[in-house]
Amino acid sequence: MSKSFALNGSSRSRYAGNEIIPVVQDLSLNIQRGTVTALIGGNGAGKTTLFNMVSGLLKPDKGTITYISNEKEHECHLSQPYEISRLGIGRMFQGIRIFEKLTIYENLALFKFNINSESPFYTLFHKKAFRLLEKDIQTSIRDILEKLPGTDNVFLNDLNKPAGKLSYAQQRLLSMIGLFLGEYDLILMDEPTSGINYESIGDIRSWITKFMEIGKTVFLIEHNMNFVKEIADYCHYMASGKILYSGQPKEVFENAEVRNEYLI
Amino acid sequence: MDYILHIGILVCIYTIITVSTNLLVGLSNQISLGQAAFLGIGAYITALCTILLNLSLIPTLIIVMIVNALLSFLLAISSIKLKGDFFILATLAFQFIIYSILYNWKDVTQGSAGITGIPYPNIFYLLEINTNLSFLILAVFFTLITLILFYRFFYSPFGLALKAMREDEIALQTLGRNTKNLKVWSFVISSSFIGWASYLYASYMSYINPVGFNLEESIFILIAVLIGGIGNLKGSVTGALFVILLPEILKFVGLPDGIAAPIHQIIYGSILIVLMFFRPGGLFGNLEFK
Repeated sequence: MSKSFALNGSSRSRYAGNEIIPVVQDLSLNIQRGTVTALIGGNGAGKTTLFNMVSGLLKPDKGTITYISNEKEHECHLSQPYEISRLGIGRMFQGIRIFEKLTIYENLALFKFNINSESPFYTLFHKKAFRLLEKDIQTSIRDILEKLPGTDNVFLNDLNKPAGKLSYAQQRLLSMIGLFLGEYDLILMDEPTSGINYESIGDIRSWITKFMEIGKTVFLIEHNMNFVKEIADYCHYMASGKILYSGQPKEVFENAEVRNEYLI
Repeated sequence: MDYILHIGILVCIYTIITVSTNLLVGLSNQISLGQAAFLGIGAYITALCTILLNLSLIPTLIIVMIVNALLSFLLAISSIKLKGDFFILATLAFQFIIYSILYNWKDVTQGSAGITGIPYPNIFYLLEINTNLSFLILAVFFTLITLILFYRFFYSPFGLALKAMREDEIALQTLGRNTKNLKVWSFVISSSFIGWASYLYASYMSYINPVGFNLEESIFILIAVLIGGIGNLKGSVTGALFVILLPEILKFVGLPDGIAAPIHQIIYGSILIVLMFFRPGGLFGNLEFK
């Protein structure tokens, strides 16, 4: 199994007045392509900061973050968030960050990115091409929604509904569908099951399974240990900005320190 | 009849201004207090090109659009990192700088005396637009072109990206969009098309002076956009109609000259307050003012 991305000695601190508080400390981590890797740990362990570093929203103070695609190494620590997304790294945020005023269709269309189609010149001079692209996006969205796993198909029935009117769980699913549409190779999910009911957790699980079937790599932060046990191939336990234990979920859960410090 | 044609021409000019400003303020949420400065730059360049160089309509328009585009590009890249109030202050500073230049660079702009004798437009020296009716036809033509082009901007993937950026810039970045580019584009497009309005304004009025392009005018433009509705083309047209027609209607009320202007401002202010409570996005706006 080949490496999908790697952090080497990455650190990030935050500043509280004159005090420097390390959030991620000298962290090294490899994620294997085609696996589900879970990152667990208590609040304030630095998990979301780590995700923000990978997606380019925060730059590491030191160390490197490398993403490998098409046998090329890309230096994420030097890249802007939009460049990282274009490399094939998708992100689902912890809080819901969909575009509430935009419709379900518009939210999903934003995941189908075509750099040319968003140039104002393209908009003015390529009406026919723009319509074809639009048709192509509509077809992809309908195709994916018709095969929607789970029970809820509110998306297909009401594509013009503002996304802000969907329930919390439906908004999460909308992000999932978007990530699928976006054809990302590495998908970062920050607590995908947080705040949603058992039935909807099943839908999230189905989507992750779908990602795996087409060879995607998933890296997720999660507090639901049953979910991690069911879905993850690897698990990393993080505390005070460091990865303390890594292995298969069962091994990590059985570690005495993880049990004492986090699980109990 | 001439009065109605005059109102029609002004409505067209302000429609172009509000539609252009709506892309910047409404869709991409960059509140600019420098729109009148771009109107002024365009108007003075029109005056200089037509009086000194005797250029016809199309070359003048091209020069006006290019200069406005370049200056807005420079303003955009220098202020792009500023957010919210700080960005507004940067555009305000730009407004004051341009006003000062127009007011004090007397060799070129004639200072407070302004420039007179700006000729009516002519198309390649073959056809001169020298009556109010022919000017209205030209203004309607420009307005329709602007509306068609902006319809395509508003309802295209570019417009969708701007609407998304307005809601959550960071989320849009993680979807692969270079939001800095989007902001610069919206600034450049908005200012370039304001150039069209300034061409029409200068050649129709035949006289310009710096007072017509001061901060009050920038606020007036913003009011027109806010009243009509942000992020909506219908709203821009309504806003332009409203700010041009209201003073004209009030003229028939017979207010004494001394208090007419303050009364207009009180009415605009009151309407804005009412809108803030009941229609925060303006009459036709589907996005809220942030």
